[in-house]
Amino acid sequence: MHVADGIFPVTGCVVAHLASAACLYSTGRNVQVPEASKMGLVAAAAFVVSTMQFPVAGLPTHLGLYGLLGIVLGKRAFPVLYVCLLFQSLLLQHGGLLSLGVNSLNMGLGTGAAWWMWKFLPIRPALRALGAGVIGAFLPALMLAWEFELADYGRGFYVVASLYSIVAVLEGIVTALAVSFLERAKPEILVSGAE
Amino acid sequence: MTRGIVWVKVLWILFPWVVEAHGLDAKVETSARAIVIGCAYSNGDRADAEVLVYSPHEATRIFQRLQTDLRGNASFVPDADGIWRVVVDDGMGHREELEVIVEDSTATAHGRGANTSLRSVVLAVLALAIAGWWMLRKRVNGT
Repeated sequence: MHVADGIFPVTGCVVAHLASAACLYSTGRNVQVPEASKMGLVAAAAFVVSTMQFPVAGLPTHLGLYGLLGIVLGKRAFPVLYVCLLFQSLLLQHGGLLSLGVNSLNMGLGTGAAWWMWKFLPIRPALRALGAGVIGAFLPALMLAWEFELADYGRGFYVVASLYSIVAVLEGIVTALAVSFLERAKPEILVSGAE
Repeated sequence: MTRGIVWVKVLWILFPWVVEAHGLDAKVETSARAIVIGCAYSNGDRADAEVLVYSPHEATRIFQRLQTDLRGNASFVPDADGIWRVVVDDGMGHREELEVIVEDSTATAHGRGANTSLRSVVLAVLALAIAGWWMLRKRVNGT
């Protein structure tokens, strides 16, 4: 679900970098020491999961745990996501340094929506987690497909969106399972840091 | 009518290029200068991708537009020495750029763009460590 360098114009990438820097500042300031350790652990988990690739319709994809990031970290998910994407671009060739701003904004939207759904939607926790996991991955996919349309690039909106909708469903299932485990093992970790 | 057909056939035999103006000739050649671009994802799966080739002399005009075959390969024959730019794109956001250096019928290639260098990783780790230390130092000192 990453955009590589060279697909979007440089101007757009620079604007996205500036916007993501503003998001980074607003969501990353005043981090407390206990939060930092939780952020580090979740970042490591998300990065490790992103290294496990599986094919969907011939295209290698991977989970990103965007929904779980939102549920566990709230607004602190954005700095964690940013660091994960940075290392994915440097070590795994997922995305690129120039498109890091675009990618972080796309997926940051997903983590934000997942956090909102987890915090405010009045339904059963298991369904909330499932929904947060799905929306956390599907919203970035829709953004990606829309941006490809704007840039007149790629295989078309519906191909991109439908392919990543499969990944989004998997994300939802994994998120629901992870939340179910955390509720029994360590429920306090699910209290979002965004209050 | 019959005489007309006979005349057409006579003309066809005498001047075949007139009636075959839209014919397509194909011939088989093997070339030691052909360069094969193998396209695969990092997990080893072959990539179904478009390959754009740019010659050293015309940086913006596409020299050749290729599609990878069932094995993920695409090939082109360079007609000049120099640095050829090859862009591989799967249309789903994955992209890689290569520079193919052609000199005296031999070619060497190296990737650019998304490829990693150890120096950039070390710099990123250092930058993050400094940023983390800067963000947390006041709180650590305060506790």
